[in-house]
Amino acid sequence: MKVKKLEIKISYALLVLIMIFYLGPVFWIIITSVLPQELLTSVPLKVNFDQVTFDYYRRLFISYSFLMALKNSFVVTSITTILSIIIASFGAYVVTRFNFPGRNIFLFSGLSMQMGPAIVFLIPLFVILNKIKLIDTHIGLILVFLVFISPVAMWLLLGFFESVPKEIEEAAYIDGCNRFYTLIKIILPVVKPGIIAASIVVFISVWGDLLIPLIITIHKSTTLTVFSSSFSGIYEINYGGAAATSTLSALPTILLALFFRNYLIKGLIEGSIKG
Amino acid sequence: MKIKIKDELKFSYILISPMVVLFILLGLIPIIYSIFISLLKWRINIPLPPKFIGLKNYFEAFNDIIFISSLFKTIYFVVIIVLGSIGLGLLFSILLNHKQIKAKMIFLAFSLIPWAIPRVSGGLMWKWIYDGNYGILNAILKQLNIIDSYKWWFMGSEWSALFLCAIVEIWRTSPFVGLMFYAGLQKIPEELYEAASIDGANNWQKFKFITIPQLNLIILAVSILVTTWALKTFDTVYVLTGGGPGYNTMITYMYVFHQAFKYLNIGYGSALAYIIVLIIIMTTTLYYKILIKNK
Repeated sequence: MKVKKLEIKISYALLVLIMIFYLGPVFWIIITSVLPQELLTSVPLKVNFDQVTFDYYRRLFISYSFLMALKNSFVVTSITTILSIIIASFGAYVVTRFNFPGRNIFLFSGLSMQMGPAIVFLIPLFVILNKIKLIDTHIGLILVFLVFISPVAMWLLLGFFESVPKEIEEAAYIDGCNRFYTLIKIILPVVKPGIIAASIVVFISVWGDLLIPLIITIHKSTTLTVFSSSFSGIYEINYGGAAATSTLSALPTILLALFFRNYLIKGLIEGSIKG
Repeated sequence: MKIKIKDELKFSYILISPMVVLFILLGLIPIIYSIFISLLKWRINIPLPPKFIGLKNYFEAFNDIIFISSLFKTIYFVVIIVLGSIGLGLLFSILLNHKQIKAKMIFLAFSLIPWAIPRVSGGLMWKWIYDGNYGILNAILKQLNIIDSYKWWFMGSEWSALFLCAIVEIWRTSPFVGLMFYAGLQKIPEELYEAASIDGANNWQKFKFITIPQLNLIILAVSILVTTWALKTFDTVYVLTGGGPGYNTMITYMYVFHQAFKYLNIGYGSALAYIIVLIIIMTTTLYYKILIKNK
């Protein structure tokens, strides 16, 4: 029995160590973001909470390029999330219900968009969007995000749609509902947990992506990730500013993940193991 | 009845049409176009018109020393990330799966934070930790007397610099992997372990003869996922080193970006991108072969 107790203690100790590895960097950047420059650049390192400052944050919020990037990120991410969830749930519903010609090709193209390296698509998309004047616009950025993220959302949703019993639908038809009405009013509410999980995954992925906005935007539609990445020089970095930006851009996704943790965990398990 | 089927077909085509249109306009057309681009000598920062050169870009790749060395770096980088994420994920999930461990959901939810935050933020966090002048890693190691002066970690050999980048990727990928394994562990029937206990098996034997075989399929599926993610690592390395110093951490995906969007050499960049496609197809088929063999 004593051995068992020791085993539990060791397990907890190891778990805590792993959690320190996972969360330590996050806490450290938050602490960094409120310490004055003198403390950050002191050797050996000193942390003194009497000198807490919100100067880096204040400077960010009066910076025009930060505010614009923040706004762009919110606009683009929200619109992409909503649109991709709508079209992906239509897709997932059809794929799980009907065996239409071209179904496998459809699934395969979704999978290739997901597995393939985005840069193969981004080089020609850059040229095309440039030609039709959609470079550096919200619309261009949203369209490109949509094509990459909607297959991911569909894959996450497939498991949820599959588990909806057919009887529910048939009962609705007998009551005289048409197909579209049945989908919206009967089926979507049943798969709501899946929709929430997929929305969070989409939001997190789009919000955090750097490569696509780095290529598709230049200046006026640029996002928070591009803005944050500009803090990264090779030798000299404004770490206070970088810490404040990192904290701010990580905050929405951390809150989402923690707030909807049950949906997220279930959704990831359902969607990934099936796919 | 026939009308009904026709009706159903029409309905399903209407519903998937947005995705199909999207795939064709922004997936299929670009991909065909990019095959064509890969056959051109085309630098968009030079006013010269694109010139058709056939497969020359592809041949050039194999004389490009930076590209060839980037392939080896990529293999090293991917192997570390896959082994590291699976190892740590497995450890985390097995610890968590223990019956007497409490607050499992809290551990799981908080472990997902590195996965949830933008890679750029994560990269900046670690860059600050690794920093050569004021980084906390230096401070801790000096305090523990492991090093005697502060070090610029990325300035060492390319392999150690890549290793540091890989740690950041493991940091953000392993929580996801851990969650997948945790889900798999819960599906293993308790009786198997009980029977093994009666037969006098120790923990290691249980792990080797029950846990691993039962998780086999999930381990393979996760390996495919993590391998493709690792092959496509961009944000983290972009923030940490930008591929440098020199070309030290220039993994292939990063190099394609450099060719296409730094030197604006999009013909050559496209050809290189197709070599990555080939690598992904090859590794995925390899995994599937193993999968089928194991079934």
